[in-house]
Amino acid sequence: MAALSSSFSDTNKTFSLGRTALVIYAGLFYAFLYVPILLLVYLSFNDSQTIGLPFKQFTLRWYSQIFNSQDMLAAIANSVVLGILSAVIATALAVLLALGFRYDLPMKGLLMKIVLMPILIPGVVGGVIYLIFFGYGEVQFGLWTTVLPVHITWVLPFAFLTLLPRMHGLDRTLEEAAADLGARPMTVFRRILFPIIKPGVIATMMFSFTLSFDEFIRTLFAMGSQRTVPVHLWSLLSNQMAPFLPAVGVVIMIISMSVSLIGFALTARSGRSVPVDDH
Amino acid sequence: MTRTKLRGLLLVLPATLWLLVFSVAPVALLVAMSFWTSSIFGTTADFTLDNYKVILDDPIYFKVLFQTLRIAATVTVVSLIVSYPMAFFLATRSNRTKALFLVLVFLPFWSSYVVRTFVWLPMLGRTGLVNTVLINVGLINSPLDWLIYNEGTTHIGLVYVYTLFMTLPIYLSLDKLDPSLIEASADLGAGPWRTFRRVVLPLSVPGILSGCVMVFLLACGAYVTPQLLGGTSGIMFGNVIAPQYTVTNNWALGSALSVVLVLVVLLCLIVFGRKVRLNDVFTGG
Amino acid sequence: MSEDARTKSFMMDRRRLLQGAASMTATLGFGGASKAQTSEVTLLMINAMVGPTLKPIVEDETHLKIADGPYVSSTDVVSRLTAPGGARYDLMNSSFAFSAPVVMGAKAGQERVQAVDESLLPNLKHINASSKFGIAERDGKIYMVPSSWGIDSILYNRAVVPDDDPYTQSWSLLFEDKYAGRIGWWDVAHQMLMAAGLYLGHAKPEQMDREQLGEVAKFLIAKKKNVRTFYSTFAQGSNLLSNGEIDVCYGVAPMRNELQKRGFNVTGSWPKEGVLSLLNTSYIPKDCKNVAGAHAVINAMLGERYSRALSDGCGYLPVTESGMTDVTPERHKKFGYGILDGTVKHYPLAFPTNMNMWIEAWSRVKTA
Repeated sequence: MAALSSSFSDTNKTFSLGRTALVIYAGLFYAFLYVPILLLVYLSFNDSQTIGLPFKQFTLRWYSQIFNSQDMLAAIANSVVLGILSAVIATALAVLLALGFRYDLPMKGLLMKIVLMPILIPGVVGGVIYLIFFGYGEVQFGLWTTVLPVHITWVLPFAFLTLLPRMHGLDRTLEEAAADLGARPMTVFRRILFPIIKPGVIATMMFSFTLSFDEFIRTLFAMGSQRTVPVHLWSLLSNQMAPFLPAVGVVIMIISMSVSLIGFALTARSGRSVPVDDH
Repeated sequence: MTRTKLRGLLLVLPATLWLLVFSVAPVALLVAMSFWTSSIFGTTADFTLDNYKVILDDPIYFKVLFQTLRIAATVTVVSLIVSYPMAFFLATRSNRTKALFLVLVFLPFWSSYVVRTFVWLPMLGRTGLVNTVLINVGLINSPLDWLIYNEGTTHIGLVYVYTLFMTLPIYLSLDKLDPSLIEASADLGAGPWRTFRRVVLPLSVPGILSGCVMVFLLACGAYVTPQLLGGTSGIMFGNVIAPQYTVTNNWALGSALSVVLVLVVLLCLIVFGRKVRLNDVFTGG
Repeated sequence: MSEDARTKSFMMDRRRLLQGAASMTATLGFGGASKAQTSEVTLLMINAMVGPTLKPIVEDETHLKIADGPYVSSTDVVSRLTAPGGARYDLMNSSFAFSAPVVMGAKAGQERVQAVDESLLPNLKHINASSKFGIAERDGKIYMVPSSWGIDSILYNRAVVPDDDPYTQSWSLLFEDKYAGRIGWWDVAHQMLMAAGLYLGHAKPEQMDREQLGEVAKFLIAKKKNVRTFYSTFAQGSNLLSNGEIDVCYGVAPMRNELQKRGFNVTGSWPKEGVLSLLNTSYIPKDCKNVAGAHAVINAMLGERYSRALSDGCGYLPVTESGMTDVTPERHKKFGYGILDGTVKHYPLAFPTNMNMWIEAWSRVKTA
């Protein structure tokens, strides 16, 4: 795993030239990633009716407006709970699925294609199919009735793809031996399988949470009257002049980061110093 | 059936059922609906091929479709070029700092997708950051109008928004590299560039393919980014499909357009996948 | 039980469980829509009509909480009447000329909304003469009730476009080359093609045939190069204008109102070809959950307080007599009260004879 790093630290002239160029490139890349974000933070303190430069004066009013906005807080609560639920359920389904994939099943190729389907259906289409499906199914559009299933379905293939390489090599004989010795499936899972796959599962749940939190286009078509964070942001953009939008963006970022970093810390604590292929 | 096979089937059952209900069934309904009749007053289940006829007859649909594929392909290539060195950088950090650099790459993606797209308006607009800097520095006298609301902006927006989906798989691929291969190559006298070209690059191909497929798929379905940033010329197929459901009430045509998009995208993947087995791509090689 | 049946019953139970859980969490106050059914009315209308100064008036007079959904366009509103899954709102409101054909259906018995109970609408009698055509009646029952007049024209930034520029007196401001690169178009087929049709001299643009429509589309495609970007919602258009990204755009009255309230130096023009006018009308979908509440809202919107606050609140004009009294000359001019008494030239946004052709034509303009 430290292959490239070790060969990289050889004291070789060409290497060091390449090394410097690479570091400079990385710096530029980080700049590309961060400049827009930093601009957003900057603008969130701008006392101006329009979203943009010039910077008129410093103000905290946009932030206070957010924390007083019931809609905003509700959207955040919705997204967080939705994210956790989607992550847990999708990961659970994905763990079972990945475990099952170790066996030689009929029509495994077809099953793989079915699993990949939500990813293969491009964004907008992925949303309209639920508009049609739930509409004709006379299911009431709502956070837990339609949006949650959509999120789980969207996250499931990603969770599966993250777990599969890990499960692939898991030796079945260990479980089978335990089962032969009389252990029930739940025990086998809890005592033997789970400890091995735990880091991967945590990583998958983190990834799943991020995916669900960020999911926008499918949610837009499948939602009822309650909003998630991306939908709320989009509605602020579209439905009103919202000079407080940058502040909202920053708040979302902080919340999202906090939850992800917590998950990250959990992964780090479960026995790995560097979560190298945790995604 | 053997006991092990039964165990395997039971394990995959929950997810399979879930997907049959929430993935296969809706898509099947979509396909069915593409053959129904719609008017501004509603949709009825009367069979017709008219929707597909309209798509084939009216040149605007294929025009936007090819534009979409073109933009998606360009975005994929640019994303690859931009991301690969970064992935290499990440993979070559020491174990101590690797996590930090990785988290730093992730951090911007923990803001919302809508935010990451929208932020390009105050970046590139007339009163945006780029124009303000250029004017203050004295390079230009009045704001550049062409920075935004065109196809180029759509490209920039899409590359920015989906970078992580390219960087990550490539990084994972590179990170899994077997040290002995590098050492062997060095022992055999190959210089660093040669080692890279002959050993590292080919072994990172699964990650490259995985990233490319992901970004291409995501870009083909883009809706928000072209609408916010694309102006009058940078629209994509998502912007043609969505109004059928929200504005013109022509659900049947919208469904037909959706089916066409999915088929064309799948076709691209299959053609692309001839060179490589797509299953391997998705399982990380 | 066979595996299939077990699966099926599991699925049905799950769905029932989910729906039950949904209503439970709703009453737990999770996420916002937590009030009990009878004290809240959900409505879909131009959000400005229940904006910050107007919503309190309605809520106060009806003793109900108003939850307004995100309005996109008249087409979107009307399409919900025909979409599967029901309308999902207690009260809906959209442009009369545009919606009446769909709402009323082709003949008796095909109405897609329920008739109103006139006993619950005492303010009905206060509707002024110009607005009476918005009361959609059939067989002695009323289905649609007017609520406000909208005026569409061109919004422009007075710092860039001088008021005395002759272009401001015509729709040419929105199309011609003079302000190339500074123009924004609203992404809707109906309004844009109608404005262009008026500008190009068609007496009744809604009756344009395929050839004439094609010519208008060709004109728009030729002028598209002057357009900086399209916008889909009022707010997006306002944001573009306020940011200085565009200086001229197709503007609706609420946009002008909002921008002026926030101190932006924009104003609307009164093109000689005629502003485009529309009458917003309310109707109650068949699956309305709070029928009494919906009636109360309609009635409040016909009341005196609402009518008097309407223009300042969102730029629209009232449909009642009380709203027309005590109007100062500057307000008369600023808000265009001349539409109600005939001193301002306006052209009603009528429903095109072939809407599909219009949509097609606009798609061509957009993708060219």
